[in-house]
Amino acid sequence: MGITSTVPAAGRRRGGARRLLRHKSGLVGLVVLLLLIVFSASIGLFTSTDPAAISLTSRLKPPMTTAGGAYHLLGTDALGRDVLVRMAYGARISLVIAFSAVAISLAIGVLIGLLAGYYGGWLDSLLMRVTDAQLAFPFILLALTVLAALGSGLPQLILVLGIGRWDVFARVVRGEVRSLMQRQQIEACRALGVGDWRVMAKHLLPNVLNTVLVVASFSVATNILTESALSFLGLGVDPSIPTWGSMLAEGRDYMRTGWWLTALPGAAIMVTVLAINSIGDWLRDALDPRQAD
Amino acid sequence: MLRMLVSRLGQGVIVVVLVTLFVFLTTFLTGDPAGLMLGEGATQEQIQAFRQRMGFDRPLVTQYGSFLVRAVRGDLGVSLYFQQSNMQLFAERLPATLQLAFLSLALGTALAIPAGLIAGARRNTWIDSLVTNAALVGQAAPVFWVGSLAIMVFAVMLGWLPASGRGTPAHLVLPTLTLALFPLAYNTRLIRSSTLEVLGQDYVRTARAKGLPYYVVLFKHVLRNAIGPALTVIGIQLGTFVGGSVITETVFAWPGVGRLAIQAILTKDFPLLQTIVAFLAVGFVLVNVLVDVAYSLVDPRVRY
Repeated sequence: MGITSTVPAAGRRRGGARRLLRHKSGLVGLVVLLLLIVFSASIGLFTSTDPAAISLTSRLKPPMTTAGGAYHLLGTDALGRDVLVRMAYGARISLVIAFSAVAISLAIGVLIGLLAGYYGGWLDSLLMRVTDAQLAFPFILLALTVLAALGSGLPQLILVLGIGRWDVFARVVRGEVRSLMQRQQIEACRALGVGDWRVMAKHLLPNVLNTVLVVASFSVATNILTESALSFLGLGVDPSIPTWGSMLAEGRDYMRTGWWLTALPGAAIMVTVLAINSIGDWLRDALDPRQAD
Repeated sequence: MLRMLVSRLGQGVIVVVLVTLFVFLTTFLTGDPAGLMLGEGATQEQIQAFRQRMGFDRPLVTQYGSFLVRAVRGDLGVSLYFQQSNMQLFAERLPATLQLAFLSLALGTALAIPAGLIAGARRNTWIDSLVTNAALVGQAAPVFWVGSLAIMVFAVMLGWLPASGRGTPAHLVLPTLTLALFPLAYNTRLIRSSTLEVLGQDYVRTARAKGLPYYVVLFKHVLRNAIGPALTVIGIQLGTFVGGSVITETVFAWPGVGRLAIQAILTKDFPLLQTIVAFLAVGFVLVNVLVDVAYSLVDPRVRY
């Protein structure tokens, strides 16, 4: 929140490497995220269990039980499907959507932020009004409206989250660029007749990348929360594909007989979001110490 | 002050137009709601008559224009699904939403102020890390999960509280606590960081140096100055909070506007959705103006 660091610039830079290693929660977050990625990507190697395989004889088995000749570490759901396997497939969906959407938001937002910060004028005012309008409305309702209108699915979700959230990047980049424009380095470039695009690409863009990376990491976490909420409300990907949000929604019918169906998918979302947020804090402390508190 | 109000409200009108226009255009991407509403068995003539009655046969611009004109006059049309005035539906559901939202926001903020203040004042102690970590967890926990867990434990397993609906004060407990989690976690972090900022200021040192007791400095000097920046961000975070209340209302079958919005979306009742969107946008603009006014009351240095 606009706290200016009292550490001089040189000291800050030297402390960077040490700070990276000292940030324990950041390291833990990174390990958790990597484990999740590896596990969900290679789930097919650990088990041949089909996430959609229905087994009515092993319905609603609690965690750590063996049923129908298979061991279910996290139990089974109302149709006898293995919860762990389904959660691993759900992780894929969440991560793919969250990261792809951030890539889209980042590309749009950085471009618009650069242009608005560099040229100012009408583009800048237009950007600010659009940002206001976006802030004025709960994103989840806009996303639901678009998904209800266009139909839901993996590409639609990525597009809705990607296009819906570029404004964060645009605002941050615009602010940074505006302050960079005051520097003599930029003034000198322009006086020497360096082209606009070249100034933006060679002199402005590299200077905003750190901030963009920090914003991107928090955006991944926000996207995971939003995607799971949309799935929970029934407007996620195809219902035949397991996701954390839709698993939780299905589990709500079995609260009395299957607590794990409600508890576990939500816990997975929370742990993932916590891990990514810790990585974001870590990056912010290391790359962008002015924003750290 | 008056000039600020007028310019803010002017900007607000633009925002409301942009938001409603966006939803208007999006809902028309689905194509014609007529076929959807009348079902498979409808004849071509029936569909035509329905379209004419609802005005769906006119160009989009005309439709949006007449929507705005009618809206200003207070006529927001009839819900396709409920066959009732949209305005009336909205008005019926609004008290439930406001009750839940105000209680949660009040509870969340009332707990966040002391928590953030103490964490900031006792920086890097066990109590700071307890508060900070709890807030981090609170922000990472999905609302629909917290609500579902609350229902499972306190309604289904223990049977202490009702799982859904509205009526008795007991019905309020679980939804209020669920919805309060986000403002609690968010505002705690906010108040903590603005407390840290204020604690470094000269006037705090002066106040301490002239012998004022620590808690007097904390509550009179620090709190008053720390709350201003927090207020603005609360206004900005309103969108997220409304999103949270939409989910909370759905989880607890709370008969409010949020649940009505989800019903409108799922049944493709776009006239109703349009009404809700318009009112939410207006509400958002008004709250943000109020936040600005409150800011200048809390911090007399801010004058418009």
